[in-house]
Amino acid sequence: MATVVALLALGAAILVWIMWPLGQVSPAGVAVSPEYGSRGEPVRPVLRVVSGDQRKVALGARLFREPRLSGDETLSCASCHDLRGGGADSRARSVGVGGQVIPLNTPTVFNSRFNHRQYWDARADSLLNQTIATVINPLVMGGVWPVVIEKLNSDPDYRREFAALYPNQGIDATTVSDAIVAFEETLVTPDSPFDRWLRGEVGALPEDAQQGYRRFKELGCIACHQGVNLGGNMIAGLGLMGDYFGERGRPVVEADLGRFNVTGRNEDRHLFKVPGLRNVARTAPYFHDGSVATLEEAVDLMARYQLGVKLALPDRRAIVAFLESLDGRLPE
Amino acid sequence: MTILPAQRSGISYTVVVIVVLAITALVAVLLNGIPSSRAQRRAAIIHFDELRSAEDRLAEIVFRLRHGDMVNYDPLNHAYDSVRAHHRGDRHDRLPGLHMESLAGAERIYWNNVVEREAQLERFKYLNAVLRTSLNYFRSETREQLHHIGTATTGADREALISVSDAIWRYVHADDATATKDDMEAILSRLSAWAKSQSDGSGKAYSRLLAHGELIMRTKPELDEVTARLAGAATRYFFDQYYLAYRSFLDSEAEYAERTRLALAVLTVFLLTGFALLAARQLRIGRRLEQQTTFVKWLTDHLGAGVLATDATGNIGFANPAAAHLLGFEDDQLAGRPLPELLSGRGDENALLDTPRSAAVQGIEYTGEAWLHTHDGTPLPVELTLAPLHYNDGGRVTVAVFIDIRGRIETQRQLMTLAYYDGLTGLPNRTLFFDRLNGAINRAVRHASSLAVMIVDLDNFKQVNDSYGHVSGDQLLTIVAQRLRERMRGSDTVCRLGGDEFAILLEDASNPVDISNIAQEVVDALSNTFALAEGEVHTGCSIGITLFPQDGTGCEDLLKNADVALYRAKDAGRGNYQFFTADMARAVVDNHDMERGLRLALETNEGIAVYFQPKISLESGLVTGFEALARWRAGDGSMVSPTRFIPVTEKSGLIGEFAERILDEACRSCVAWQGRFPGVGVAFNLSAVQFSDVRLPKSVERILANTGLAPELLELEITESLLLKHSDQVNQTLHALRHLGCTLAIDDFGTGYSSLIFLKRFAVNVLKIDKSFVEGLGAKALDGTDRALVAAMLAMARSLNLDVVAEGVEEASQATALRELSRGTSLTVQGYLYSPPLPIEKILDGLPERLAPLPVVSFP
Repeated sequence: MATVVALLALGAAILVWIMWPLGQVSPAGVAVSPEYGSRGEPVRPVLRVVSGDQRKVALGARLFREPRLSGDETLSCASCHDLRGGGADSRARSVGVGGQVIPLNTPTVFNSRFNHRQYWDARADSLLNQTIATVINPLVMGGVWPVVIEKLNSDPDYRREFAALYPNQGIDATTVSDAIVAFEETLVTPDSPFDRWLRGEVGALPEDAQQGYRRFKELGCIACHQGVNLGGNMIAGLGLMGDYFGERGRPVVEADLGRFNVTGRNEDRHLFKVPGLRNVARTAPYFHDGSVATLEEAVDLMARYQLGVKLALPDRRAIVAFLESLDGRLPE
Repeated sequence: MTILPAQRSGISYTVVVIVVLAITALVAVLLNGIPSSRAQRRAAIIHFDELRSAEDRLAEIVFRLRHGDMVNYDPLNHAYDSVRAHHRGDRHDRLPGLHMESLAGAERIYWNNVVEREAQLERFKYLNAVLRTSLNYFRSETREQLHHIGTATTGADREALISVSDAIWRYVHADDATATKDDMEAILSRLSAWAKSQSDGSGKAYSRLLAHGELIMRTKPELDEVTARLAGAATRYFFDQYYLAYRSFLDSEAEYAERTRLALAVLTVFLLTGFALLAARQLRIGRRLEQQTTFVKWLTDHLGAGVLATDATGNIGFANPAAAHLLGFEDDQLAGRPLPELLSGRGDENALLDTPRSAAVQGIEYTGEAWLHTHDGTPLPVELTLAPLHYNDGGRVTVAVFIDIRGRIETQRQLMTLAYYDGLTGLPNRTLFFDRLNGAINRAVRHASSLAVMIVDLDNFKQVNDSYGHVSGDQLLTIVAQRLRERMRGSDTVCRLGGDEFAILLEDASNPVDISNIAQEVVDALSNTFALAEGEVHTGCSIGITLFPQDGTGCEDLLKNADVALYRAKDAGRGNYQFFTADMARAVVDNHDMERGLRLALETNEGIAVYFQPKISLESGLVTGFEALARWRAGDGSMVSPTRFIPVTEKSGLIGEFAERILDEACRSCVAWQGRFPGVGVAFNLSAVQFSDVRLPKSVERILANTGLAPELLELEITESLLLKHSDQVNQTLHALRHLGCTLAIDDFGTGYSSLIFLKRFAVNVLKIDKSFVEGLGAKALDGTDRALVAAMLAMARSLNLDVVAEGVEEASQATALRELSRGTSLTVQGYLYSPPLPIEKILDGLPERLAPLPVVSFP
C-alpha cells in the first residue's frame, strides 16, 4: 500500500515537474565592453594594481635572476632586462651566451604584458611563448630545457616551490616560464605624469608635455603609438616615407628584415612591431638595431622616415617632453 | 507464521510498461541523437551571444578605426582575441550538435576564416595607420599651405587646395573607391603640377603632399579590401552561416524537447491512471485476501485435526494450533522443520518402504495411517492425508492433515481383547485358541514336530456356583486361570473355552511322559483348596488330552477328541486325565452309528418299542401300575440299553421326538389295559433335557387328549437333581404338569440333595426309592445304613402321606426286608423279583392280577 502511494506521489511530482512553467531562462551574459580611453584619448593609463599569486611571483622573480637558465650559466633574464634601469640594458645590442652579439636591441620588460605580440618581429603571441623560446634561443641564453629542468630539480628550494605551486606538473618549460611570466606581469610602471593627467589629475602633465602630446597626435605619431603602451599592438614598416636602411650607413642584416623572417612574405620586409613608448626616456639606445643613441634623435628619425616630415625644434622639444612624461613608477 | 507461501509473481504490467518506454526512448535517441542538456544549450547560447557580441565589437572597432573615429588599436586586438578565444579550449567541445555534419562544416569554415583574419588584422592596423597618418598629414599640410597661400597666391589656388583636401578626405572615406578614383588622379596630377611649378619651399611641400597622396592612393584599395575581409558583410556571412546552422539545431532540439515534454505528460497521466486503478484493485484484492486469510486461520485454529503446510523450500511454513498441540510443540516451534522429518512409516526404518515419508519427499498424494514423531520422541499414530498443491507458477507446497487415532487404536485393542480374550479371566477365548491352535498346527507341520491339546474341566464347578453364587463361581474361575497360567511355559497357551472348561495348548510336546507330568501337575494344582470370599472350597478337574498329529489333523478333530477323552476321564471318576485312545474313537463311531439307527427307527417306526414293568403292592401282590420303559432294537437285531441310547438321543436332539413317541405309546397302552386292569396308571420318566423344553406341558396335554387317557393315570417321574435348579422355568413346568392333573413322582430319591421343601411345594405324590438303597437291603447288605435310610424315608413318606415305590427289587430277602420296614403302610415294589418289563401284548394277554415273587431271577 505504501509503495502504491509512493508511486502515485512520484508520478504526480513528475507531472508537476513536466508542466511547471519554465518562465524566462536567464539570457546569456553579454560581455561588457572594456572602456578604451580616458578623456577620450587613444591611450589608457597603466594599471595601478596587478594581481597574482605572490608565491608564484616570488618564484618568478628568483627565476628571472637565475643564471642556470642559460647554457653556460652566465646569463639570466635580468642580465639584459635590468630592472633598476628601464627594464632593458643600455647597450645597442645585448651580448648573448658565449659573448655573441644579439643582432637586435633588447626591448624593455616593463609593461610587456600590455603588448599584443612579443619580439621585434612579433613572432610570439604571448609572454609565455616568448619566455620559453628565449631560454633556448642559441643567440640569447643558449639553454636546453631538459638540462635547465635537471639543474633546477637539483635545487631543493625549487623542487619544493614547484611541488607546491605546480603539484601536477613539477618543473618543466611551461611551469618555469609561467612563473617568470607571473613575475613579469607585475612589472608595470603606473602613475606616470601622463597617466595621472589621463586620469584627470589637473596639472600632472607639464604644459610643454601637453603641447608635445598634441603635436604627437597632430603629426600622426599616434596612428601607430597608441593604446596603453603607446605601441606594442601593431606591426609597421620602418622607412615608410624614406629609405631608412639605405641611409643608415650599415649593411642590411637578416635581423633588419623583421616580420619577413616570420612570414616570408615580401610585403612584410622591414616590418617591425611598433615598440611601446612607456619609459622610453629610460630605454636608450633606440630602434631595433639600437643605432640611435638619444631620444631627440629617435624622434627626429621617426618623423623623417615614418611621417616624411622634418620636425621643427619646438615640436621636437615638446614631443620629447611628452615622451619623458611617460616615465612611470618603477616596480619595487 | 505465514498462511500462504510467497508466490513468485509473473511479469508485471509495470515491467512491461518500463520496457516499452525504454525501447521507445532508445529508438528516439537513435533517431534524434542524444538530446542536449539544458546546461549545454545555455552554454551554446552564451557562446553564440558572446561570439556575436565579439564579432560586432570587432566590426565596430574596425570601422571606427577605419574612419578615424578611433585611434587605439588595443580594443581591436582585444576584440579579435576575444573572437578567437571562443574557438579555444573545452568550451567548444561542450557545444552539443557538432556531430552533425552540416553544423560542423559551417563551424569549420567560420573558424578557418577567423584564423585567416589574423593576417588581415595586422595588415589592417598597418595600412590604416599609414592611411590615417597620410590623411592627417594631408590635412595639416594643406592647412599650412593655405596659410602660406593666403598671403602669396590667388583665391583660385586656394579653392583648388581646399577642394584637393576635401577630395582626399572623401576618397579615403568613400565606400566605393572607383567613383572617386578619377578625381583623385586628377588631384594628384594637379599636385604634381604644383610641385613642379612652385619653387623651393612650396614646391617641396607640394612634393610631400603628392607623396602622401600617392601613398593614400596606393594604400586605400588594399585597406578597403582588408577591412572588408576583416569585418565586412562577406566575412560576417561565415559567422551567420555558422550561427544559423546552430540555431536550426537548437530549434530542432527545442521542438524535440517540446514533444518529449508532451509525451511525458501524457505518459505520466496514463501511468498515474494505471497506478490508481492498480492500487484500487490491489486494495480490493488485499482486503479479500485478508478475509480469506482470516477465514483460513479461523478454520485451522479451531480444527481438531492437525494441519501442516510446507513452504516452497519443503520445510514447514504453517502449522495450526492443533498440529502443534498433538505433536507436543509450542505454536512457533514447528516452522522451518522439514516435513519428512516428522513422518515415519509404521516403525519401518527402510526409507524406500516408508510410504508417507517418500510421498512427502516426492510430493505425491497419500492417505492412510502413519506415525508422526512428536516433540518428546513418542510416536503418534495418525490418520494422515498428504495433499501436494501445485501453484500455476511452478511452486509446490504440501498440505498435511492428520487426525489423532490413539483412541481408535485403543478401541480396536479393546475390541480385540473382547473378541479374543475372556473377560473374566483374561485368558484367550475359544476363537483365539483356535487361531493359536491353527498356527501351532501349521508350525508343527512345517517343523515335523508334535503338539498336545488338553481340555480341563472343573469337576464340581456347578455345585460351587449353585451353593455360593455366581460371584464365587467367577472368583473360582479366576483363581483357576491364575493357577493354570502359573504352571505353563510362555510358549504354551492357556485359554478358557467357556463355562468351567479350559484348554491348554502345548507346543513341541511329543513325549507322553512329559505331557502326563504336566497334566498331573494341573490336576494337583486344581485339587488344592480354593480360598474364596465365601469360604474355602474344593474342586477338582478332569483332563482330556489329544496329540497332534496322531489324534487328529485339524482343530476340530483335536478338540472333539479331547472332549471325548475328557468324558472318559469324568466317567473314570473325575480328578484324573485321559489320553485319547483308539477305543474312544470307536465309541464315538458307535454313538454315531446309533444316532443314525435311531433316526431311521424314528422315521420308519420300527425297532422302537415300549415295555412296561409292573408295580406291585407288597402286601396284596396286586398290580398297581406300570412303568413305561423304552426299548430299541438296532438294525442288526441286538437290543440296545436305554442307558446307552438315551444319552445319544439327548446329545443329538432326538430326545423330544423320541420321548413323545414313547409317551404316546405308553398312554395308548394304558388306555388299552384299562379293560383288564381298571384304574391302573402308567409312569413315564422325564429326562432333564426333556424337562428343559418349555413345550413339554403342551405336548403332554396334547398326547393325553389324543389318547383319551385320564391325566390322573399318568405318573411323571422326574429326577431329584432336576429340582435343584430352582429355576422359574422348572417351577412353571411342574406347576403346569400338576395342573393337568398328572401324578408326580420323584425318581432316584435319596441320591441327590433330597429336598423336602420341594416335596411340600409341589405336592409330589410318589417317592421312588433308588435301587442303590434297595440293593443295600437283604442278603447283600454290608451294614444297616441303607436299612435305616429306607426306614427314615418310609417314615417321612408316611407322615407326608406320600406313596412310596421301591425300585430294583430283585431278591426275596429284599422283599422281606421291605415288608418288615413298611409295616403298617402300603408299599409298592418294582423289580425283576416280580416281573421283568413286558411288552403290551403280554399284559393284555393273561398277566394275572396278582403277581407273586418269581422263584428264579433271570435277566433278559
